[in-house]
Amino acid sequence: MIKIVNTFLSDHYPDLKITAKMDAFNRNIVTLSGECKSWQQVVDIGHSVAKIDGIKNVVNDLIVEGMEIPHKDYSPYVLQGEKLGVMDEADVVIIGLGITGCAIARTLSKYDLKIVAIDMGEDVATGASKANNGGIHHAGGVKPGTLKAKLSVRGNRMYDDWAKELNFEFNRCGDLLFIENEEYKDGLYEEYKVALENGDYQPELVSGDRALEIEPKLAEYGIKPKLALWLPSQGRVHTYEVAVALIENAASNGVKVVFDCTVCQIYTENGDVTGVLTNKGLIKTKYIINAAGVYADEISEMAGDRCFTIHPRKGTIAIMDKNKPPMYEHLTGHFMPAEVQKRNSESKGGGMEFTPSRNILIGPSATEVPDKEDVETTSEELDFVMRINENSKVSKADIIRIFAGARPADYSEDFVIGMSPVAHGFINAGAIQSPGVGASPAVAEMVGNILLEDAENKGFKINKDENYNPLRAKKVKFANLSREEQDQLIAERPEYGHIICRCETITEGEILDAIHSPVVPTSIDAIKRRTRAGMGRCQGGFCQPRVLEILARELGLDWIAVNLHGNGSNILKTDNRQQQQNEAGDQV
Amino acid sequence: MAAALEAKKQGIQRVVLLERDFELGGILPQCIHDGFGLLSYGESMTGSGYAQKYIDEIKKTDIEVFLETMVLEIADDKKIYACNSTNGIIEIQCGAMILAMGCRERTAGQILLHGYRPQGIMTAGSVQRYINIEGYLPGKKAVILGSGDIGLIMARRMALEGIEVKGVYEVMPYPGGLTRNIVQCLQDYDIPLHLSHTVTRVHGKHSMEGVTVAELDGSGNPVGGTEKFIQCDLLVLAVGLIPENELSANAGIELDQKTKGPVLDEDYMTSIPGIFVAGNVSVVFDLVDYVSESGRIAANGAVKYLRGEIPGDLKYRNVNCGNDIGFVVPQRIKYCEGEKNVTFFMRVREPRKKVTLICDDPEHEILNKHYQAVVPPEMLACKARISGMGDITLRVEEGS
Repeated sequence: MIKIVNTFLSDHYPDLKITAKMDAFNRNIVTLSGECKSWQQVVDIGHSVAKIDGIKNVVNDLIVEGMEIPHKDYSPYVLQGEKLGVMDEADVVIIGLGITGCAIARTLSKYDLKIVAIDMGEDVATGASKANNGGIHHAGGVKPGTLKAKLSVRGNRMYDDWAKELNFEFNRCGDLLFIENEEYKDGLYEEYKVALENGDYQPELVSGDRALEIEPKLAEYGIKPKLALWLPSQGRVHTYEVAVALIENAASNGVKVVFDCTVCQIYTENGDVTGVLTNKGLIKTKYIINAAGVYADEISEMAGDRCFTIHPRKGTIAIMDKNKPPMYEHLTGHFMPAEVQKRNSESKGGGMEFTPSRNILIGPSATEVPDKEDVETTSEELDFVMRINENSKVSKADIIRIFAGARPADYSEDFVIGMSPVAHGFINAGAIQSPGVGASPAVAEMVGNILLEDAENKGFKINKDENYNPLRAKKVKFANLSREEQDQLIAERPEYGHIICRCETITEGEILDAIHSPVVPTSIDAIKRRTRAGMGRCQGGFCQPRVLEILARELGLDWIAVNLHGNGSNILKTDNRQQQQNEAGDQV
Repeated sequence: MAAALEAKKQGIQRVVLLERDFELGGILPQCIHDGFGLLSYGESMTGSGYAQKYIDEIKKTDIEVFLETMVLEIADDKKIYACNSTNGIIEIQCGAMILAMGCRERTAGQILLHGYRPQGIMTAGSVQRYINIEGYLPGKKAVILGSGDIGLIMARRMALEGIEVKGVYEVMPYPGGLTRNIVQCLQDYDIPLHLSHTVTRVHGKHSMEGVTVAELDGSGNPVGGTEKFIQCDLLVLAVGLIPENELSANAGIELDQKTKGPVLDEDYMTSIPGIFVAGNVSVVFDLVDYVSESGRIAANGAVKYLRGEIPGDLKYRNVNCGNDIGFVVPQRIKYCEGEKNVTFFMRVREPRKKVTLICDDPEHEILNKHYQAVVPPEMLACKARISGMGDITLRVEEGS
């Protein structure tokens, strides 16, 4: 195998000195090192080596001449954590509370296990899970035979139960891809075949007339589809809402959640994991689940198992004012092969979508970046994103927010899920990027089964938790109620009569509900993700001071201690009146 | 408040004032700087002082005031649904309705601000609220983007509170605020104003480390090589105001793309008979005196409507924006026999010296007025005596 890799490298990159090494566990994982000319070249070489027949994955240590690639320094966390000593003991530690980690936490909360779920952020869903367009994807765009394809199809079907039990907004909108001329007919057939092969739910090639029946609005725009692919499995959610619902339910079922908690070391004894060192101290544990998103490769390395490399793929999304309604009811658009649309074939999305709250989303882009925390937006990225706009009524003038996230992609461009052969008890759930939101129920199920099977083999008996309750009560959404319901609600609890966010009609009652919940949000952005306060067209201009006041009051904090998003992001720096009073006092 | 008081003065029996904030006055209570009321009272008051005059007047009447009350919907036939904590859902059937929801500030997203999105990016109004009402400072070193009046006022305000104001950056080649504010708020405090500049990038993944500013060429694109990093922990956005017309739009009221407010006639009546607008929800005024005046015009219109003095089948003459006029309010005038006085409010598109403002219709010149200088930030107000038929055009011509 190593010979094939070396031949490939010298054939394709004769000018570069690249060393390849196979992993010690015969997994056909290659570690590459050497120097390249550009970051894109680093990524290209990683991808092409991963595509060599028989190669499972690539650990990419290639560097770029003259470029410093940012790396996280864990040493201050180690110092702090070691000083603090043992913080907790658990059966399972889940690292990373994006949608994947939250799904795993909830899935495992069915069992009589002591679970500690931690995240380096101040809330759940602070990485890629807050910065995607929430597609529950059909399987027309995933490579058959991959773990991605299998889990995406299964996860997609599991969403109906999830939405029912957890009471989040889920809209099974379906995806209608049409062509107006013969040009891309073959591509459309190809996507249909892929969907069929993957076992997607009832994909259908339909005539132009049938397409018009499915989406009558096409006719309004004078579009005459010739042929279309109808994929009724496509859905949409607010990913952060799903993550919150999952973790709240998990916490109600006994999962302990710790935020601002960064993992910096993993301890093993005789090949078995024994603990996780964090900045908050050591958590002793039997199992570790790595759902750390863009940092998952580093966490795996801490466990002594370098088996993949995350290369962050940045996606920029523009979100539009609700006063520009979506053109269609279903996700509908011209079919164009990925290469024609110049979008990345490994990451789905990249078109016109809209959220369950009916804000149009345009994007995301897909740009390889060396920095895992690079979520900067640029005018070039925005221009790229706006190019795919198919709605003539929408322009840059309608944008209320531009944001970017980093997808945790690896070089196999597949999910990395499994028990580590190096550190027993360490289970990876890494490289979960698109279609990771839709796949998350199935990812969690798979991770859960790996753990249960291993425990059984070890004779570690895991019982079902008899008190497990899969239901999460529905949250009040004042704006969606009838006038009679609103009136009755205010009579019972007057806080629902006090509108805090004018743009989205969010009441104080809803903010209080969010705060007094199983997983307490502590930042302005955490309140925004739970209630939508600040998500409207004024972007918190009016309501931020009010939300800040409520948070400070309910959590017993000083105003200046309230953060926008995590430590060090306090909105107010000085208590001016207090300071002036002190100064006046000094003078007396 | 001006509209409510005027309606009461004209003998309307039941006047109801719905306010979403916990006190009356809208944004005025947080405007503790002076310069309010010069035209109407001949003295320079603070915004809060100006509002208090009206609040005191309201208290002397039997106008019903509902505070912390949010209007949720304007339904058909002038029915309002509102809510508050004490009354629950309030349903009000109005004879006439005057909308005075004011305006809101443009945000980072709307101006396509790029870079990271750390804490420390705030609109000028939010900064003003935190400092003046709540008593907290949101930063220690500030950069201001936009030289509209709010940006200028906040430059001075922050300087007075000990925040280091590193500069005001303005995209346009001319200042966006009134000349008096340039002098009193920037020059008096040695705060530099950089015209034809913008913020191209925000730095700081978690909290703000600074911004990159760059010079803009004639077509508004950054000039390569002029980028400069400025260390700061607060970026104050004073990048324009937009009338808040979501309620109006949902009620089906026709909006003017130029003013972002409803299309109005000389009574400030919208496209729905019986619904009037007053203040910055109709168009962003730059003087509070004009805002109050618009309230009185709308109230008088509403009174006429309630008394059946506005006919059902209306015929309109359009008021058009001619050469160099960005917008004009009112956008149309009811066709009638005889003469009537109308005050037009407008802004020019570009700064110019020695010009004549001409108002005419196809038959005759209605008015011409000379100006030594006109600039977009300073609204032009001109009273005209209108008669005849045909569309009216306002335009600016060179020379005087």
